[in-house]
Amino acid sequence: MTRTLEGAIESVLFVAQLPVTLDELCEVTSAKKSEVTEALERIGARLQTGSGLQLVRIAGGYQLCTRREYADSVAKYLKPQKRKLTRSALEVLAIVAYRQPITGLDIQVIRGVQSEHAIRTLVDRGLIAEIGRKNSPGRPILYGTTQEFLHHFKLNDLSELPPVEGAEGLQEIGA
Amino acid sequence: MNRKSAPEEQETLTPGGIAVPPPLRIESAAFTGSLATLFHLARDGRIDLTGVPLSPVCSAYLEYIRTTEQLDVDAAGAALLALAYLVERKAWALLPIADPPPPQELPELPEPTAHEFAFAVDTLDEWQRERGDIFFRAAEADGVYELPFDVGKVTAADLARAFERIMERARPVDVTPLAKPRPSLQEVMASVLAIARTTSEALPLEAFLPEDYTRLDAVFVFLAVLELLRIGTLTAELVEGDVRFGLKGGQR
Repeated sequence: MTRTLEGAIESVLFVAQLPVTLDELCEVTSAKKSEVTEALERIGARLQTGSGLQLVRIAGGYQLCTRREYADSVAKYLKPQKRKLTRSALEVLAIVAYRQPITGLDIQVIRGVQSEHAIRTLVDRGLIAEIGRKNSPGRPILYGTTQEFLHHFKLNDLSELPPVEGAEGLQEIGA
Repeated sequence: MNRKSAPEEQETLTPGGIAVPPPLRIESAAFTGSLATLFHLARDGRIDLTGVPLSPVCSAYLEYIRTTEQLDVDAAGAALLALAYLVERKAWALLPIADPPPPQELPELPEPTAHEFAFAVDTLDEWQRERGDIFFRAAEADGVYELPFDVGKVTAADLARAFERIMERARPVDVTPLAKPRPSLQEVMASVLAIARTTSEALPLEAFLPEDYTRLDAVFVFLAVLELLRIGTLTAELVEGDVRFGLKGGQR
């Protein structure tokens, strides 16, 4: 059987448990970026017909995953535990995603309610994490989103988040 | 104002040894009584001194000093002290009162602006649902934890689900657990085995528990079942997605 770049990339993506970046694919296949990109497009196009898999750009890389059409069959097999985020947790997550880096106090100012529990839940789920300390009295923790956040919502990067009105200016809170 | 220039007969010292001022009588529109009474009322803040003229009182005092032949210096000193006190209090009362400083306004809390993120929250919620319909390698797969013993196709997640099910029905441990002797794991294993021997069929985890059981009971039974699986006395199998436990080889 003839070795092809497409086959090599597909093999790597098949075994990968995390998104594989373009650079990583170039490194393991010793191919140029343009060649790898073209091969990825061909793989994606081929999987679109008659396959239960699809190639997605997620969390800054590429990964194979199942198609939504077959969700019920896969779910029956895997029996995943439903761990949907609550509305309040989603609100905190959205605030962190748009305003990061942000302190817990700033999140509370924006929401007008205590948010410690939601923050702790999101940290436990790996969706947000401490990304530094604010240079102010008490040096409060600054939170930011993680790669797991991108993966959880099938995002490639934060620029894919929908625009929010009045996004500017809130950075000044507690500055 | 009328006043008596000569003091009436009186004790000049209190039992505590404090001199009593002479009974100079004051009569005015605002107050009628002795100097001592006025002094007490002023000291206790029960009279408005601004309405009581003190000049006649002072004149009466001076007349008392001049006309009394056998002057009691202590009594005169006490009267002078009382007068000085009244004058000072009245002087303070006549001073203009400065307006109280306006109450300091607390900075207003900023209005919550979380509503600006409503659309983003809705979008994330929708993406979350959509994302739940696609699966990545090993991302949600069960069996991440390896069991240290062979239970066939039953995974750690199957066992965990069975445990969660019995825990949901369990009631909290009684508040006096110390008074209740706790069964040993060996005793619970014997109990589980006894139940398993009553039938040749595999039983769900609930079958090894009484109708009413505590969380502690549930934990002990689950540990006992795990231990019996480990030593190979019990086997586990999946029946319609639920894990069942039975004696190895179906022996009774």
